[in-house]
Amino acid sequence: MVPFRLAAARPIIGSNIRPARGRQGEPTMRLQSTVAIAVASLAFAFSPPAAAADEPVCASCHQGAHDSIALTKHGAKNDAMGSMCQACHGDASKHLEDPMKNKMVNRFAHATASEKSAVCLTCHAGNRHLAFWESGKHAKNEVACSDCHNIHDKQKTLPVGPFTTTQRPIEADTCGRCHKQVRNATMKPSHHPILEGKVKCSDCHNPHGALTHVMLKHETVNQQCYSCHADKRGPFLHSHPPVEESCITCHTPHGSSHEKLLADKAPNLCQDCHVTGRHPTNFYGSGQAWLLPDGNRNASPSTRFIARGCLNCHNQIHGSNAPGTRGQAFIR
Amino acid sequence: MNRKLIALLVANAFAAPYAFADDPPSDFRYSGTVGLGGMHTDDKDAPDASKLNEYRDLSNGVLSIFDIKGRGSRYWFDLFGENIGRSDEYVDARGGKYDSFKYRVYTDALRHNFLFDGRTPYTGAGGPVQAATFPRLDPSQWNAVNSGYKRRDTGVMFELQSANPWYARIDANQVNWSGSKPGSSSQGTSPGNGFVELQLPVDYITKNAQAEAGYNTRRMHFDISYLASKFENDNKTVTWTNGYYANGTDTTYLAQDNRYQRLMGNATFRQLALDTTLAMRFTLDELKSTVPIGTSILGSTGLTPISANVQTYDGKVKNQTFTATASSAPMKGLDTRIYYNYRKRDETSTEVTFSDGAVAEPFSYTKDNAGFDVYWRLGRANRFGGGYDWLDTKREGRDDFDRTKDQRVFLEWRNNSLDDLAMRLKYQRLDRDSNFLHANDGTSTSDPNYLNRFVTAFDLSNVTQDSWKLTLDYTAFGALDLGFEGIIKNNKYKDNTLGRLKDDRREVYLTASYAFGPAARFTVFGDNEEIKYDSTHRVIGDNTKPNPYDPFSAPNASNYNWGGKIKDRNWAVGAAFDWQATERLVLKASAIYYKTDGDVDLSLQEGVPSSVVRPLPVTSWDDTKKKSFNLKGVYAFSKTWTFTGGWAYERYEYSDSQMDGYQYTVPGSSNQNAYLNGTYARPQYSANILYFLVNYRF
Repeated sequence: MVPFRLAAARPIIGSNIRPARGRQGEPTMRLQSTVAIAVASLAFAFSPPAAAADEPVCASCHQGAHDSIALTKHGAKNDAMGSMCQACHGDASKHLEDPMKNKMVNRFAHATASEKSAVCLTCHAGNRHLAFWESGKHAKNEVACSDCHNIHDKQKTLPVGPFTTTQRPIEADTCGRCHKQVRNATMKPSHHPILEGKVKCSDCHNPHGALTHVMLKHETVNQQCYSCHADKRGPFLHSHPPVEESCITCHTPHGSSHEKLLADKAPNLCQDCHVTGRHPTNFYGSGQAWLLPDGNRNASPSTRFIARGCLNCHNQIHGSNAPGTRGQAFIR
Repeated sequence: MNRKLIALLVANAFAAPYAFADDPPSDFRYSGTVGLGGMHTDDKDAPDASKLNEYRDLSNGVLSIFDIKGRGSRYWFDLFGENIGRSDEYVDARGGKYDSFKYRVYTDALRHNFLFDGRTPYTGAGGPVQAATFPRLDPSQWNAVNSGYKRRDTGVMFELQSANPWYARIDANQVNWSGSKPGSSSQGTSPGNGFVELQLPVDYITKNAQAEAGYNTRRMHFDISYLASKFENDNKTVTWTNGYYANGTDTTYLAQDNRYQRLMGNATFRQLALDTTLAMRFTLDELKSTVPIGTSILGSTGLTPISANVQTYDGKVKNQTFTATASSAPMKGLDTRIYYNYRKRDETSTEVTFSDGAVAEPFSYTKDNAGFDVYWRLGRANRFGGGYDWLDTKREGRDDFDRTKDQRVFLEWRNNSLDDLAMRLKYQRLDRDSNFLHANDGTSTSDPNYLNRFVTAFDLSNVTQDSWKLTLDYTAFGALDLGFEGIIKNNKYKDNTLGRLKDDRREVYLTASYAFGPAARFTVFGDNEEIKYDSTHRVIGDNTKPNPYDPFSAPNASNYNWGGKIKDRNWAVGAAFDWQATERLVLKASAIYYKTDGDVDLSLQEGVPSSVVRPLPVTSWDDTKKKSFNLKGVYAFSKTWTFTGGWAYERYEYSDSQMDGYQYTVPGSSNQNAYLNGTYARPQYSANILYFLVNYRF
């Protein structure tokens, strides 16, 4: 097997791909929206016609591959000698001499994950968001950059999802190719708006590596949840210990069949801890529901069971600022 | 404000290259798509269409999209926007100059709907003052009410890279929430006093700002950052008429303003000895909130004073964390990682004692966590892994457990000896040993405190967890992909007598995907999941009978144990098809069927006299069926014009014992009525959605 060669930061053949620095004293931008629109319109109207871009020599045979990156950051910095192509695929000099006989140096099809990632890391290792790549679970579990970032190829797997009003690609479709059950959970009746395009996997997890368990962006589960749900931060006058301990004591963030992403419903969820005396210890079944099992109306449904169960009264379950025992019982 | 922001983003996206350029950007190219269309939704079968519109804006109206890119050898930008003017509007502008700077400006709107066409006896529902005159048992005389809030997140980011390897970055965003959300409250202090459902006001603003500076090379990274976050709530309380207390004005307390700040430092050192990467992080953060303590509570005689040892609660929580990880590849095929995490939560909030005996105590903990994992590749085909994790948590302020020790072990085997088949099998075991503070409570089985010995909250009680995970991925003929994922996870709360005894989860997921050449792709999936919770509880109706507080004692008609077995089952199947039908026409279709089915089986301890009414099982426990179908055609009229048209159908059925037969009132004696407003009661719907879009590509 040909040893996998890490691409140099600068291509072996071709021009310097580093852009020139700008001069000092560049004009500032105007902030008034109407004036900005006028300027932009003038700029666009009088912009020189787009010069035909120099296609890399590689495109003469690999037009599709060139087209797929032409408008990406990789392709935009390419040049006629295919510097950006070679940055990943290796030195092309031998390949150009005899394309049929000499394949490119770096062949990804049978490379290991670390070999593939090493090519990307040649340029990107110094990127801020890859600071913890080596320490993260993806690197340890042999996930390569190309498993998520498809530079050229069209995705073979077609994701299945309900109708949404967003046209943007859904990040969970990429993560879900490996994390299948998590992707499935996002379709449960109670879910974060992930498939609706409003919450992404990377809002909570750092796929490029993190030092936390399950690669959360924040230090603890609670701090992660509070980054969006700041109203739950507290600290509250009366706190609820399992809330302080971890939000996932009661909630299952990827999706649930129960409202509010609860792992289970009240009263059962509450009764798993509250088993001492008075009404928490009573059983609540369909004999306490609106309708009896025979379909007839129940003359005395229990307010501890119907609707939201315990939460009908103990609504301030994440913590309360009410004085006295009413706050302590989360009923105010 | 939003229209200005959008105009500004669009303008700057085009103007930026010219504003910053020192030479005319002759290699700068624009391309993109703009689209305009519409949507029509027919949901007239829905008694409450909030579930259909939970996070989506399916209202009839205009759809829009723009996706514009600019690329040059020095500058770039991406400008994307969709659903302009709708509740789920999104605009995102990014750009920069390569190796010099980059920026992002965005606005993202969301609506979360909870209730449409509900009814409430209150005026001012959703606001800070909600009034009514009770009793009011005829819902036909009530007011209509909807519940939901709008959330808009608007932010900026700027990163300076021109001093590479040094960089500096700022991120700032503001999240505005406005509307209402479901809430409720008991009326008296006993569950028999009835309750009211309220719509609580939501008027929040969260402002976040973070500044970061760092140093980045391939061998080293370090950065330091400071984050400040402020949460503000326009409504710290909501007052509402309490019919049980003679229509007096009662108060529910909502979230107070809070302020959070965090200092964080990260460092990574690569290419150390034995191909080691050392990564470290520390954080120091502080959360504060000041609560003026209420001085009265509503009772049967009106407002009653309540006092505390202080007038103001100063909430303060500090956290310190430190993490260090060393990942190495000491020899070919061997990957190792050792790590240590330290977490300390120190709450120094005011300790408050109330005149009615309630006490508010702070909660603190320290966590020490260390572990390692090792992966060894045996040839190309096999990779074995194993690891050990230890977590020691010491707590103050939690009265049932003060210390837990978790030990976790995992073993893993990956095999791809067949080129087209990859397998991963993982086993993990968790053992938790907890120090229970009430193990010796009570002097005798007639002492109420004796029962505390048997009450162990499952989140911290002793537990053993076994979990298995198997994944298989198979690619055949280069075009067929098959996937399987199976999980078994069992928790046994081995020393629990009352409360949760065990929970089990099993899930199987299968998927198949096939590409019919470049012209068509087909994917199908199926999933089945079952989750079970088992628990035991004790009813004590008469503490004069023998051994009332001993769950191991013989039952009688007043004191006995009962058990609950909860089962949640979920099934999902779906398929998607993508077909280049003709040179210009692409057809896309998807169909999903998702079913959830829960039940609760209740049983009494053996030997309970027949005079005790037996519990009836719950056969509908969030039972749902959702059928989704989407058919879309995309016709490329020319290189620049594309027409898209589609039809989506959704049907959602719902049944639950807590909601079936729902009524707006539960009459009770002596003003102990319960008043409800319809939240979550009737989410079922059936909807047809038609949409079209005309896109211009340039």
